Amino acid sequence: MELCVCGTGGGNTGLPSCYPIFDVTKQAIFVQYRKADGTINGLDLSALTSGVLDQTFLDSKVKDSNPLTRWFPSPELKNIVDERADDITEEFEDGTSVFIQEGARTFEGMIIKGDTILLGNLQKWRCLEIGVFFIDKKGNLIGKQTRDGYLDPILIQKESFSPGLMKGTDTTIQKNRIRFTVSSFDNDANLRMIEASKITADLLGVNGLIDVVAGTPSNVSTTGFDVQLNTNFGGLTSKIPASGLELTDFQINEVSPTPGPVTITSVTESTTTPGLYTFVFPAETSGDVLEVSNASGVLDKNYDVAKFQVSIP
Amino acid sequence: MGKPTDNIEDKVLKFGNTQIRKSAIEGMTEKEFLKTYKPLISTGAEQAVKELKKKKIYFKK
Repeated sequence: MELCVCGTGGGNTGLPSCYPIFDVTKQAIFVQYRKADGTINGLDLSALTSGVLDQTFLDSKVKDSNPLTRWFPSPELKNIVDERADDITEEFEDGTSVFIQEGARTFEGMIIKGDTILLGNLQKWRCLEIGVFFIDKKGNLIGKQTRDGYLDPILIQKESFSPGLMKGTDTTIQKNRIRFTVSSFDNDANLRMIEASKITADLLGVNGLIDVVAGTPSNVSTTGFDVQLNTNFGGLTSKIPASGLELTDFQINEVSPTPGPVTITSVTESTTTPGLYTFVFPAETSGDVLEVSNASGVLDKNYDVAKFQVSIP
Repeated sequence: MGKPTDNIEDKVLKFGNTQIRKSAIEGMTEKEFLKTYKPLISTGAEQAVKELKKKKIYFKK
């Protein structure tokens, strides 16, 4: 929170003839507020090409294989409430009052056709120190600037993040509700944006990653195995398959007895059973334990494959 | 300065629904390739062999 600065006078109150302002929020991008080194997980403006946020940059954030630095965009949000409560003041017997502090800014939005799987994933954020960027209706990316050279995420008040499920009724559709309070450490006056005119990426409408989990590997031999890869979405017995993954989306490492990378020879997705993949690799030794995971670096697809292990018979 | 080197990276080749590492192909015989990929490549392993020959990618002798 900024304080009054005595001795320098107030701030100037002019406005240029034309200047951009924020529009209503359409999406939120959640991030872990701090990186492993303790610095804020902000957008380094020097990493943009000529100040332009392009698709390569956006992909490097949204499809970052490291979840600690990844951006997690929400689906489209509706019925946005983003307002500060009334100032907290102290009132006196003569009817006057003095300003003590601003009220808290609370945010609420609805995800139409919200889902219990998404709800569970949102709930995982509760115990974290969360930052948020907003994407507004015009496609501006909004954060805060409290240090030179960065657009930082807005800090969410600890323990205030509250996702929920609103079941459908005869007249309404099922929704997820997201609600949180902005940290009292953050000041509205520090909110800044990268204007939509400087964003060539498809930011508005950007999709987050979808979790992919493996079934039990089958037909395991020293040179390969089959595995069904599904998303968590769908019915218990009718999971939506993770279709379209390719060789370069995976890496395999031997984890026991001799840790090290295993070069994947080939990956084939079944033409009759979507999400059923056959992996082939150079002959491994019986008893080896291999671990399959996302390829490192920037992911190519919108899938985040959970690590799974295969024991060579 | 030495001669520029082609194929520095290990390319991945696509045949139908299968992606295969180029170096792996070069490390197996045609017979091994057909045995492994006949049940897998949706467009046919024999067709893949023809395409490989056109691309001048050769199996191990």
